[in-house]
Amino acid sequence: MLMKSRAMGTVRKAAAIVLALACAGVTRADVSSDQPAAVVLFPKLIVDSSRGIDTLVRLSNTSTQNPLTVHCFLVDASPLCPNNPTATCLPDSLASKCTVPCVDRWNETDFRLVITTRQPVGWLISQGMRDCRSNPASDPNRPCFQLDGVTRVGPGNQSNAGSNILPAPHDQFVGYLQCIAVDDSDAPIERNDLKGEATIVRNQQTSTPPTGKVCTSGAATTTGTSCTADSQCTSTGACDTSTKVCKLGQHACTQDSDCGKCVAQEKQCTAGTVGAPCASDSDCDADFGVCTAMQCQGNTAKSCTISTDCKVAGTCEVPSTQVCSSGAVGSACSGNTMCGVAGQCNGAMCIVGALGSSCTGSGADPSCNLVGKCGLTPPTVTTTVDADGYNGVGLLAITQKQCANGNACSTNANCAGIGNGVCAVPNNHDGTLCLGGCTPGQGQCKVTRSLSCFKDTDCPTNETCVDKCPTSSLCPNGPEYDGCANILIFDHFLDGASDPISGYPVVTDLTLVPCSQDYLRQSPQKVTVQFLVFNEFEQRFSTSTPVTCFKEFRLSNIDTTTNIKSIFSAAVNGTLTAQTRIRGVALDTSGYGQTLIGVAREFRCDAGSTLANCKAVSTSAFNLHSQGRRPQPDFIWLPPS
Amino acid sequence: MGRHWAVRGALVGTLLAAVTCILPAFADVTTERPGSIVFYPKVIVSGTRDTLIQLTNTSNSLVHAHCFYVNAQLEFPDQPPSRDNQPIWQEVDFDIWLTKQQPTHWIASSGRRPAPLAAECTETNSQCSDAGLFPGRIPPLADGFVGELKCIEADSSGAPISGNHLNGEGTLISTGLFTKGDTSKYSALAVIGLDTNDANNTLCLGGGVTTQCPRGAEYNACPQVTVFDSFSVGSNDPALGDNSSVSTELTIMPCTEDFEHQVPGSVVVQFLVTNEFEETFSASTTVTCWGNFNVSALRGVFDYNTTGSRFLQSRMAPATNNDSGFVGVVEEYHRLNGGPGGHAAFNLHTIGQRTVADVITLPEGP
Repeated sequence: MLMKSRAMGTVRKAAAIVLALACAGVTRADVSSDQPAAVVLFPKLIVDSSRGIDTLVRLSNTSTQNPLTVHCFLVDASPLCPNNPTATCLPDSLASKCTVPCVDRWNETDFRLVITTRQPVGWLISQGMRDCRSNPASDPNRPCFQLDGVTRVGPGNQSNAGSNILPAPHDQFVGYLQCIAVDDSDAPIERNDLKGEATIVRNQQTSTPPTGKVCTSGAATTTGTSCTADSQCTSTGACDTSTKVCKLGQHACTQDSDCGKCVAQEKQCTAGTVGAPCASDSDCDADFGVCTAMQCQGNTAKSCTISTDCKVAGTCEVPSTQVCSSGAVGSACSGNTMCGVAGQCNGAMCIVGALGSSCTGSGADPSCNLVGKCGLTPPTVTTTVDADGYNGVGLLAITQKQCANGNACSTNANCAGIGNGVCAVPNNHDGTLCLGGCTPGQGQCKVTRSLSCFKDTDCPTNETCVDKCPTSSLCPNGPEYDGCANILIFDHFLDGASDPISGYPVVTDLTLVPCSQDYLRQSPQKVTVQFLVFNEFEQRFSTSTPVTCFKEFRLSNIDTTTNIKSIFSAAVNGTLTAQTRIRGVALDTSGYGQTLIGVAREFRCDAGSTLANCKAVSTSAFNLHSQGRRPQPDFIWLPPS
Repeated sequence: MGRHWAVRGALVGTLLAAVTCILPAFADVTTERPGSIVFYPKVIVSGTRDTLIQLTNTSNSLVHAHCFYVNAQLEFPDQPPSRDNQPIWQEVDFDIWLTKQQPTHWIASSGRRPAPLAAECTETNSQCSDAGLFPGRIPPLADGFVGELKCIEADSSGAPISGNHLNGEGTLISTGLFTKGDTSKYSALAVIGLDTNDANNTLCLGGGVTTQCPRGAEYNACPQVTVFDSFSVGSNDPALGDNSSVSTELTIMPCTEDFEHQVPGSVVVQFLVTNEFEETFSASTTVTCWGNFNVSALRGVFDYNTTGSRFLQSRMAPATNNDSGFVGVVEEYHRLNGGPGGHAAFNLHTIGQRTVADVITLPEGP
C-alpha cells in the first residue's frame, strides 16, 4: 500500500513535470538554424593560413522595415602553446606544432554593427570589416561596409555608419561568434530578424618532390618538357608567317627553320691562311715572309729555321663542326635545336635570348644565346579548394505579450487579476538574457493538473496551487528567449568508416559550446557532457567528457587517445553510421540549464591519413538536430553598455 | 516499480498536455527537430555525383516509414526544359522500419538489399556499408535520377501517424575524376505531425478545416517565406581571391503532391533580392514537380553587374495561395581559376507559415 502510494506520488510528480514543461506559456525548445532569431551563434570559426583556411560569415537582417543593431562577441578559444606562442595547437594544422600540452584560452572581444533593412553583409574572420568613413585611420586592409552613411545611404537614410567588425586576433584561430539584437542603447531586444551562415573555405597548396628531369630553361616551347640532356631544351622557335619575324629572337624568317638552323660551315683554309674562306687549296697558299730570329716576319706566331719554312701550301676544306646560320647565329651546333635564339645585350643584361642574364656587350651577344638547361623537375604544387558551410544557430526571442502566468495577452485587461496584471513581453531588456526555463511562481492546481496557477485562488474550490516554479531574481519575468535543447541529436559516420561512394575514410569533428555565456565576468562555463551512441545494430555505448567554454573533438578522441579503440570508431561499432545523443548534465547547484549548442564537420581523408591526423580531401559541415527542453534556464550575461 | 509508475505518469502527463495545451501550428518544417515527414529535396544520381541518405529513428520504439522517390528527370535529359520537355515525375515507393534509436543509411544508386552475411567494420575492414540491422529493401536509382525523397512515418498497417520520430541528412558526393570525394551535406526537412492526424491517405500540412481536411491541419504548415543569402553571379569569394567564382544552385520542392493521381505540385515562386546597398530586385519562376536551377537563370537579378554587390539576401514566396507551398535547399560551388572546387550545402531559413493547406495524397494501400 505504501509502495503504491509512493508510486502514485511519483506518477503525479512525473505528470506535473511534463505538464509544467508542456504548458509553460509560449516557450519552446527552439534553438533554430532555420529561422531568423534574436541571438545567433556561429559555433565554429577557424583561421589557419598553413592550410589556407578562412571562415566567411554572412549575417543579414530579415526585417522588411527596420535596421537592426547587433552586438557581437567574438570568442578566441584557440588553445595556447604555453612555451611557444607561435606554435599551433590545432590538430590538423601544418604549422609548427606545440611540443607541450596546450592550455585552454577564452578571450572575448565584442563589436557592434548596424544592418539596414533586408541587408546582407559578409566578411572574412581574418579580415573583419569597418566603417571606412567614420574610422578612416583604422586598418586599411579591412574591407569597408557598403553603406557608409556619408557617400552612400540606403532607402530611408539607413546606413552601416558606426559599424566595426573586428578581425580574428591571430592566425591559427579557432573560436565562436555570438551576435545579439540590441537597441540603440545596447539593450537586448526581442527582434527575431537575424540570420546567418558560416562558410569555411580552404585554399590549400601542397607540393610534391621532384620525380624526374624537365627543361628548366630554354625556349617557351621546350620549358617543362621531359629531357635527359641540355641539348633537348632549346627550341628552333617558330616563324610568324604574317610578320615574317621569328616569334623567338625577332629574326627575319620565311619558315620555321630560319629561326634556328644548324648548317655545315663554308669551306675554310685549314692550312696556310687558316680561317680564310676559300674555294680551292691554292686559295690558301701563304707566304709569311723571311725567317728572322726563328720567326716568320709576316706571321710572328709561326716559327721557322729558314725562309722557305714561311711558305705554306694551303688546304681548303669544309670544317667538321657545324654552326647556326639563323637563330643563335655563329654558335657551334650539331642540330637545329641548338640554335634557338640569338642573344642580344643592351650593355648590361640580355634583352633577347637568356632574358635578364647579365652581359657586357652591345647588340648581338653570344653570351645571351638562349641555351636550354635540363634539370630536376620543380616541386608539383597542387591547389585544393574546398568549402563547407552551416547555418548560424538562432535563439528566438519571445515576442508574444504575456500575463504574469505566461498566458498570451494583448492588453492589460486580459491580465486582470493575474499576478501584477500587466500584459507585456517578458524581455526586461537588461544585461541578463534568460534562455528558456519556467515562469517563476507558476505551478499547477493540485487536482486539476491542466490548470496553471500562481495562487490557490487561481484553482477550483478546495484545490491548492502546487509544484511552483522557483522565483528567480535573474529572470523575474521568466524566459525571455527560447531555451536551448535538452538533447542534441547527431547522425554521423563512425570514424574510420569508408564512404561507400568515394571510398575515402571519414572522420568527424564535433564542436560544442555551452548555451550559457558569461561575457560580464569573462567566465567560461563548464558543462559535463554525456554521449549516448547507437550503432546500426541498435547497440548502445556511452561516454562523457567536460566542456569548458568551447571544445572541438575528433569523435574518436572523446573517450580515448587511441582512435581505433574508441566507441566512435567504426571498428568498435561494426557499422558505418551511428546516432549520438548529446546531453549536458544539469547541476542542481549551478542554477542554470547546462545545455549545449554544436555543429559538426565531416572530413574525407586522403591516403596516408590516420584517424588522428586527417589529410582532408573534402569537408562538409552540418547543423545538429535537437530534442526537448529543460525547466532550468540558461543565461547570457552581457557587459554593461 | 516506482520507475514503471513514473513512466506511466509521464505518459499521462503527455496526454494531458496534448489535450490541454493546444499549441498553434508553427511554421515548423524544421531542420532541427525530428518530424513525422522528412523531405530530402535534392537527390542526384549521375555519372559524377551520387547521394548518401541517412535516416534515423529518434524514439525508443520501432518506427515504420513509407518513402517515396520522385524522379524529376526531364523527358529528354539532354535537351533544355521546355513546354515539350517536362520532368517525368516518376514516383516509386518503399517501406522501411527502424528499431529503437536505430540509424541507417543507403546509397541512392545502390539502394539496400538483405545482406545477412555482410561484413562488419573492423580494424582491417572499412568496407562495411551493409552492416547493421536491415531496414528493409530499398530500390536502387538509375543513372540520371534527379529529384527528391520523402519519408512518412506510419504505423504497422501503413497508415500515416504523427510520431515525430524521424530525422535525417542527405550527402551529395562527387565521383568525378578530378572532384572525387567532394561533398556537401544538408539536413532533411522534417514536418512535425499534430495530434489531429486522422491516419488517412490525405496528409494536410497546415491550413484550416476543409472538405479535404475535415480535421484541419494534421501536420505543421510549409513556410510562407523562405530566405537565403547567396553570392551574386560573377562575384568572387574573398577567401579565394580575384580569380575565384561562386555559383549558387537552388533546389525547390513543392509541398503539395498527389501520388494517387500522379499530379505534381506546382508553384510560381516570387523572388525579392536585396543587395548590400539595400536595393531590391525581383523575379519569378514556375516550378512544377521539382526545380533545380542555377540562380543565374533568373533574368539577371542575381548578377553582380546588375546588383553591384557581392552578397545578396533573397526572399522567396509562393505567388498566391493557390500555389503550392515549397521547401528547398541551396548549394554553392566555390572554385578558383576555373579548376575543381568545393560544394557547400545550406538549409534555407523560413519565416511564417502558410495559411492554406498543402496536401500530400498517398496512393491507396492494400
